[in-house]
Amino acid sequence: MRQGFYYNEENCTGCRACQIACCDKNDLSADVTFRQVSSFETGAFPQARGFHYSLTCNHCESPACVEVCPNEAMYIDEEDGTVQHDDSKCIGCQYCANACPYGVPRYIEEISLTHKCDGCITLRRNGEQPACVAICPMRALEFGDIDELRAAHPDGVDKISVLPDPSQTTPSIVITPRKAALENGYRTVVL
Amino acid sequence: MHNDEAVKSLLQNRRFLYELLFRVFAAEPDEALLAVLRDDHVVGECAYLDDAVIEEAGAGGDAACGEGVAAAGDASGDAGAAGAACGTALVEAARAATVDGLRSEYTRQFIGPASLPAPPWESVFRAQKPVLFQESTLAVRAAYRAAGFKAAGYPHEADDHLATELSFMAALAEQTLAAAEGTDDSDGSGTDGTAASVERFAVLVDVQRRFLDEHLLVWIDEYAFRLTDAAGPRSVYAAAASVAALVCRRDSDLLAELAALD
Amino acid sequence: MTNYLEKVRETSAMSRRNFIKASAAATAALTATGLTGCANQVKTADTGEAGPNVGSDGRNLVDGTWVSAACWHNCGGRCVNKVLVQDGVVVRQKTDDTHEDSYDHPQMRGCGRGRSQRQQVFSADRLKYPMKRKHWEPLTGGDKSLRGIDEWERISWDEALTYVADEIKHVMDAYGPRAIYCPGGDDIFRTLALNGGYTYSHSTSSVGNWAWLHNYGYGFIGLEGNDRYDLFNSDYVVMFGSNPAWSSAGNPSWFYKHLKDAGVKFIAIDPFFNDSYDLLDAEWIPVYPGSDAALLLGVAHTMLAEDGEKGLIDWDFLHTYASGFDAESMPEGADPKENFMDYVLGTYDGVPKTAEWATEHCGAAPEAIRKLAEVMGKANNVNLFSAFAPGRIINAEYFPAIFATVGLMGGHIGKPGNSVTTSSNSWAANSRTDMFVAGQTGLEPLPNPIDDMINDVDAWDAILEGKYLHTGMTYLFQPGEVRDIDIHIIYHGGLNGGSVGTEVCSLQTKPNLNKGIEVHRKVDFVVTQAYTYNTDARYSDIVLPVTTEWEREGRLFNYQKEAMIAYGKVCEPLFEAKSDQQVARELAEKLGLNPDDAFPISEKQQYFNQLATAALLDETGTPQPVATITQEDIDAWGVEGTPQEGLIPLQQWIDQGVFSVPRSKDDAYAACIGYAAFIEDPVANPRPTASGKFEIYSPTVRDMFASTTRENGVASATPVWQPILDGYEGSFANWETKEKGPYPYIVYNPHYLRRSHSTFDNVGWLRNAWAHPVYISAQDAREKGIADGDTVILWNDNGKTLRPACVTERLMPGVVGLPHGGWVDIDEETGIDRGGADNILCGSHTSVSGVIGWNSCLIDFAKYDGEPLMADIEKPQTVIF
Repeated sequence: MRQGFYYNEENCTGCRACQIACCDKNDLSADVTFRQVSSFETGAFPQARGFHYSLTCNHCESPACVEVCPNEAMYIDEEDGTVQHDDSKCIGCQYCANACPYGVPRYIEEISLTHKCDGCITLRRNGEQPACVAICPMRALEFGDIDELRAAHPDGVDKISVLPDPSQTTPSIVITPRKAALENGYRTVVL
Repeated sequence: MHNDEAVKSLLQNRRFLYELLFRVFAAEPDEALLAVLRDDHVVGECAYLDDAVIEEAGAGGDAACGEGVAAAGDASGDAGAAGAACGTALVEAARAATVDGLRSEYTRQFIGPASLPAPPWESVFRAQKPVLFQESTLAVRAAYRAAGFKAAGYPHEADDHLATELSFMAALAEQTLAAAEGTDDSDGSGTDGTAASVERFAVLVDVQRRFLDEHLLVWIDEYAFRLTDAAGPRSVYAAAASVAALVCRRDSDLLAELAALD
Repeated sequence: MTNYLEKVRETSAMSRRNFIKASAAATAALTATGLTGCANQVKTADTGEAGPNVGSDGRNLVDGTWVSAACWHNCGGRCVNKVLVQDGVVVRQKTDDTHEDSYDHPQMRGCGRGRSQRQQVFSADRLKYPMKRKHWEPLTGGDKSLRGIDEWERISWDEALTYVADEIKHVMDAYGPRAIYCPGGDDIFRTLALNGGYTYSHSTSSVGNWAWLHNYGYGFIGLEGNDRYDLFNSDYVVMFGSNPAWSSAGNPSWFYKHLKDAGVKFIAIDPFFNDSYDLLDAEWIPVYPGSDAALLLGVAHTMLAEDGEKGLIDWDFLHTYASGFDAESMPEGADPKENFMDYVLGTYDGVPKTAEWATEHCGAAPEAIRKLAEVMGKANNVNLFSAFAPGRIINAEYFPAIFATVGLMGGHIGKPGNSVTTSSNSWAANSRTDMFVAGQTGLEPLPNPIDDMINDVDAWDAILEGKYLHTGMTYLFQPGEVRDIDIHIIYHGGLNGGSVGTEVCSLQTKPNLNKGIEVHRKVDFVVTQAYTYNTDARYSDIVLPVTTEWEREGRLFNYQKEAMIAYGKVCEPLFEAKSDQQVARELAEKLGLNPDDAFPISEKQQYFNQLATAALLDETGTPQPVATITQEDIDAWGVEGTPQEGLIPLQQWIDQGVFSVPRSKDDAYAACIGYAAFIEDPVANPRPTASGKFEIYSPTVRDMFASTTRENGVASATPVWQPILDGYEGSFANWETKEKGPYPYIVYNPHYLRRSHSTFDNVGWLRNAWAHPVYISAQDAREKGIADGDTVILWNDNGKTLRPACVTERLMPGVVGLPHGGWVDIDEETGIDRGGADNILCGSHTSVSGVIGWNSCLIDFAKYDGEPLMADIEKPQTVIF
């Protein structure tokens, strides 16, 4: 069983509330994010369109981070169906950060450890939603059993223009994409 | 231990240093404090743990105190004259300063109203953000409480100000000295029971060591570095921060030695 | 392993003994020097229990108390924020989770700014102690040129308030109360009023030229709109200058998305195809900032021209509900030639406002204008919406009236699926027919005995030149009168509280910052109440640290339509901060006044009173008290009050933080349609105008504007087009030949999600999420050789500012977007602002109405050949990590 996110990219306005909520819950320093929103454009004036992507851990079925971790610090929590990290085993080698096709794990220099989204496991055990899901003003995020999410969103995809080939790690993600996110020739914009 | 003057001299030394350092960082200076900082006595105290013999206090190195600190390294390799170097840098900086100039500098580095370049609270370094009243503050508060103290500014001022943490060490240092002298009456029994004092001594050593390792030592090096960067190495406060960092590091090792005493 | 013990044992016993003696003596000397009252030390206390248990990762995210914490910012939202408190420390936040989320009963979710508040409230940068400028001297100001760059000294509250009181007393004696300028601070207003008064400030601020449509003339009053359920009856939503995704963060964009999903079509008129329009798949009509009136006149002309063929205009509607559209419906005594229709047709001025004419002035293609005219026809159900922004422009006086008239032409008022209104703040997509009655604090108004009030747009000039044009309060126009004014004190008084809570930072947010700084270096004394070292504080002589709303007793906000948020006290005042009201009380005492005369009841009583008097207007329109209050509640609070029956127990409301009302499409609120009563029976329910109708032709407005005697622009009863002062027309040296002038580009100032106006600018998470670039069109960037990320310098006669470039294809060429609210950060050597502050470029002029405006400023820009700008996230003074 895997849990993961549904992301309604059609609804996403790139407001970055999810990014900030994650920073708050994880008490992150200013330059570290476990969920990172990026914005893009396609096309030319006056037909240009934009789209966003809110990136975090996909709690993959075949997580590259777990595969390369020399010390089992990155591991699959079979009960929860998410990929978790054990600080006590982490040696700060950053293999996971380099291996993840999505660039999700973040090495934090001050503590010489790599951290990432933990699916707000503590909050969920307390009956709450992950912080990003709970705040999204566009209700663009859901978290849960990925098979159930895929069933609920049968037209969802796990690949858009800005994402890597999902066959690498089988991410537990289902996206309702924007049309612009399926086109070629996107540019990053820092709004 | 009751009669071990070597131990007592070490305890007295750390008592003085923590008391001095706490006062340097606690508030704007006055003439009295500046007079103390200008006195050679300070060099002697800073150098007490150096290889250098006590009478030769003041034999400072060429290295700026910050470099001295860096050279001091870890427990296994203490640069011989780091204390004297730091202490000399502090005293010389104090002699070059005026009360008025120092008050202005204290204001700039510790009060505001503009952003402080090196905010002197543990939470800022723990959270890696310029924020106060964080979870780490609660941990410091709990450490004070367990030892029978609280921050004088509670609940309005952040408990983990550098001066407050140093004042905590100073207060415990005083208690440790009293316990070693067997005159400690913290159990209120009215008698100076040696056994109780020995036990109390051991507890205090442990509490102080943990506070250093879990709190002060986690941030003081980076703090001293930031302050030196902001204020310049010839600043009294940068020099004092370097002294504080060195004192804390050495003290952790000293406490480990004291813990191993029978 | 160290061997300190061994080293010390090697020294002689004598030297050890001497050392101990000397050290003990030195220690005793140290401890003898006093540090009493110093907070930075420990003192003995009872040994207590450990705090909350820590989790396996060392963090406890579950235990503690959830407290409803104010989100008091002037973004137009003021949503639900809650904080988990452990012994005065906030460990994390959350938003509304008081009920299941649905369209019928939405959670009042907040945004990233509200979620960042604990960074703001507990910032190490908080103002902690009263301070005075080192080179300040009482009564003379000392070296005033050092304001903004001086050193500081900490002083006690007693000293600080004594200084402030002495300055006020001196100025009162020498010059009178008019010499005190206090542009903001609800609490200090009361003290100053009691003391004899002060000169106030006013402006159209957020609403700009919408003030005239909202408040008088024209007969609209309040610009009523429709409930969000009614919007589903629309075919089109036509939006001018709107960006709810950034400017009305929270639910409005979600509401709009529901409309889009239900098949409602969106049309966007704006220089920028922003994220709101993208979300809604809106058809985009790019227009120059401030040219909306021209576009709408082109639409009106097209509707008239094609009416015969397509039946676009609802003539019955126009004649029944409005006066002044055509010659036959002009009011008695008016020159019939001044009707709107003939103006549009160019009958008398020889300028038919055709789509082609409009194109030349607004940049939209003629086909787009004609298509919009068809959309606006009477056959469609249309919501015609505008944000305040396109009206917040100098010389856009008549845009709101033209906007409303085009709406009237298609009959789009007072019927299901139709409305003509501003759509902004928390009532975007859910027009504000109030469902709640605000709670009252019980503090009676304490009027200012002085009636001097300076329009913000004139403030800096007035203080420099010694005279100003008095026109009364913005919304209560009086005939213009030039008055002498001699300001000696500027008092920045903190929060404007009330039921909406507005932080005021005048120097930062008024146009022409450089002039504002000059003013602040001229007057005798400047004092600021603030919780952070904002721009006002920076240029002051004395700063007084005040609490944020999290450290106060609590307040009710009445800003959301369907919910009333009660927030409480999160923690004790930080350091020596006092509440604005406490400061006002203590200053009153220093001035020899009785503080109880200014504040007869405590802050706690005021909050209680608000809670007790807040009411929900039920579906019959009858007010129902919200709070059920028992005698136990009253006793526990220690206040005066009487028990009452309400809809929710008082404590539950406070614990929950929000009382919200589930809706349905069949409830009575859904039937709230703007102006429905008037449309249904215009005789029984006339508009408050001479004719009893909407007045397109408004002599009231004309006379009002003429009375100001301001020179820029026309005073006209007919809504007419005029070129924006610093707009597209002004960018040309020669309009006919279209030769560009020295400042060929128009900069406008979109509200930005990193900040609420200028608040939040120094929060690391937000700086990381939002870089505050300058938006440049791809075409202009190509022409100027600017790449994405390059440092760009923007300049005009008012100043220069730097920003990194965001090159985008979604902005029309000729227009530059500089996000509103960046904190000024002037490099004293070069005079260039590094903060991207909008008001560096905005001039302090106005037009006939006295409107304060942004969103249209002429500039030039180029790739900056100086040192590249450091990213805001890396700026050393606020972020070291």
